Amino acid sequence: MDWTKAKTILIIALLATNVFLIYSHQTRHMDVHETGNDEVVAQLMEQRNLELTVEIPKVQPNVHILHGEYLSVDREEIKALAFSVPRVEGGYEKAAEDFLEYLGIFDEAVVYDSTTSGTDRPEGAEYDACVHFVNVVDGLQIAENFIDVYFEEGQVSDMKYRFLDDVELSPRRVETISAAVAVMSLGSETPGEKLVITGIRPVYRVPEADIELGETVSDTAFPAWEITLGSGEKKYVEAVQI
Amino acid sequence: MDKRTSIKETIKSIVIVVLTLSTILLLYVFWKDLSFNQLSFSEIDLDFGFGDEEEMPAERLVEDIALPSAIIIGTGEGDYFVKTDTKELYGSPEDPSSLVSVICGFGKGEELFIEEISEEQYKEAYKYKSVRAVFNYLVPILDYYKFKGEKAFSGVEDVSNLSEIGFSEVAKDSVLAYDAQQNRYFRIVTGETGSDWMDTFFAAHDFSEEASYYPLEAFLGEGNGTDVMVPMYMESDMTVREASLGRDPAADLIRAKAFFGKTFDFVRKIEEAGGKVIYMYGYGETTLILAEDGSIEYKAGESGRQTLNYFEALDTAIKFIDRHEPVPTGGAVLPGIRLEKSSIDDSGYKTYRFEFSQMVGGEEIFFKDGPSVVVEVSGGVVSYFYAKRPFVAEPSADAKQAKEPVFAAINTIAANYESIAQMLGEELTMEEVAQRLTSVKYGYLCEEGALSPVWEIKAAGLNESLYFDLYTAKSYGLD
Repeated sequence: MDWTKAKTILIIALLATNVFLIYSHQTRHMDVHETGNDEVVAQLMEQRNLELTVEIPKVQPNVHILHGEYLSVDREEIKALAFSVPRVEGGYEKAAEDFLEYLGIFDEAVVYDSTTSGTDRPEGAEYDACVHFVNVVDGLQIAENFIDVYFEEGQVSDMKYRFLDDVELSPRRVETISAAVAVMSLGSETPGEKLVITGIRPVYRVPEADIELGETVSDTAFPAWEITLGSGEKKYVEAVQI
Repeated sequence: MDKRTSIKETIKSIVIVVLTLSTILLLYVFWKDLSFNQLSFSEIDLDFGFGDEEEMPAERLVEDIALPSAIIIGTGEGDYFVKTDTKELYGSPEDPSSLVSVICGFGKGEELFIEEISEEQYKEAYKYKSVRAVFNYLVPILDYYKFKGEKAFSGVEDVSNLSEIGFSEVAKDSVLAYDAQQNRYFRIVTGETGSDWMDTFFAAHDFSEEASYYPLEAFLGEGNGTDVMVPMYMESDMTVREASLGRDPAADLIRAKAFFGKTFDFVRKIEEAGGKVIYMYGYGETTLILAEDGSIEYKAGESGRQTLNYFEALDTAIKFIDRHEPVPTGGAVLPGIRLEKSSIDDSGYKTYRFEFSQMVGGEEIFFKDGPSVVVEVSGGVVSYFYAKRPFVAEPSADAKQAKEPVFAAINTIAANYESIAQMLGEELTMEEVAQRLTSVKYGYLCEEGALSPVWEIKAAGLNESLYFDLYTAKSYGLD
């Protein structure tokens, strides 16, 4: 037997197998691009009394499930550190980021979203400005998660938050339902009611629980479709495809 | 082969080894559906399904769990021996001379004659030399035959639910049975059981070391007290034992995975500030709660669509318990379980509720907050499971080993009847309190990380049981 030749053939076979396995694995974890018929989707939307002012995303992201601990900062620490942050010089955003740095909670998940100040503030607001940060993990925002840093007379006055921190990703990614299915499922929940949809995006979200819970220190966030209605109200449709 | 060719061949061999190993790793990643950035050695769990057979707990049979709560042996001289550790006396169904074989086999007899007898006749028969198995739950005897695939003699259906069954020397050819649900007493003439079996039973067991029990009435005079049996004098080597109900987060995860199986990837995990961990599948339809007190509670999202009979449902419950038992650590032992109470909801596909007691060293463990192991089987599947399973440490070397006299049950009642009356909300004499008692047992009370030897007393009109130290009669939780 020609062992030299046999070894060469074996190396080629093993290489081909490995390439095939890597390719199959990678394609399995890639986001799915929907190739559905837009006309059919539009027809179904109309039948369900749904009016879209935005285009439905065509990508169904394959994402992780997240588990994290809720951020918990001692109120005394917030008060004490508020005085350590220099008065706003580089703008509210910079001052708020510095404050979060001082608290040791500013990392890549804490993403600046907006600043409310001046006439943008709601009526009766007791602050000069509010810097709003959101929670972004694995490229998606965790809905209803935020850190708001408040300023009064150019200095940090308070911080309010609900923030899933130290997030661990599930070992496997899960497939999600398409945005079109999510929108139609929302339409079926409100039969007869005309819904104007002004936004739709994939997010993570901690679902509401049907059981009574005590003070929660950690929780799990699942992929969901966040659908914004014309009224500004946000609705969520769980997106895990089981 | 020249040197250059030799080096080339060596490199090829190394490449083959590396490629083979990487193929194995890739197949694992593909099989487990892991993403590459999540791959770490801690993630690699080479579980190929070859479990260590020695570590797998043996599957328990219905006959191992559905035991009598007590076996009462009458001497014929006014006293009795009451065995609450019934497993050994009850025996194995494989042994034709065992109590269980005789009890469960009576309905298979070719010649069977059943007659209803009065309560007085029934009680009178047990005043003689006798053996009686007492069940706290109802045993649907026909279901047992169906479960074992055996044919029952027609007529046995009159005794639909057994609560007690036994033999007396005054009716040697008969089995005596009591159906508490119907409150009916029966004498079943079988022609197969009787004196031979009783002689064999008494010859095989020595009761000379056992404490003699008497009905409470015997202490207080006729008409005062009930037929609840208590020992006159008893010695015991029971001692306080450590019992851990704490949780280990690593073990929690393994236990939780066992409940959810392949769906575990989609399970929501919530931790509360007090230490409670909740696993939830779907939108709260299936939940598993690992509570701060070490208990575990599982509620399934849906019930099945299969109608099981009593013993099939019990078998399902036992198998479920076996699959979800915690594994004790540090040389501790997990108490055994015994069926204690059952109820049936006949609506739909039938729901069976089974409550189990726990035993360690042959003694029952009492829990103040109700049954410690509960399984509900609905439509053929387990729809509810609750368990509070302590890991019991072996008694320490300096703990007492020699037997000591316990504070006699009747004296315990005498010392505490006023506080019992207070609990009942009435002013009662000791005799009046004794008349209210429905059960007096000894065992261990599981509380605050320890098992303490106690008397457990139950009274009509009291929802909770009362506990008194076995050696001092000091009450647990009463003023």
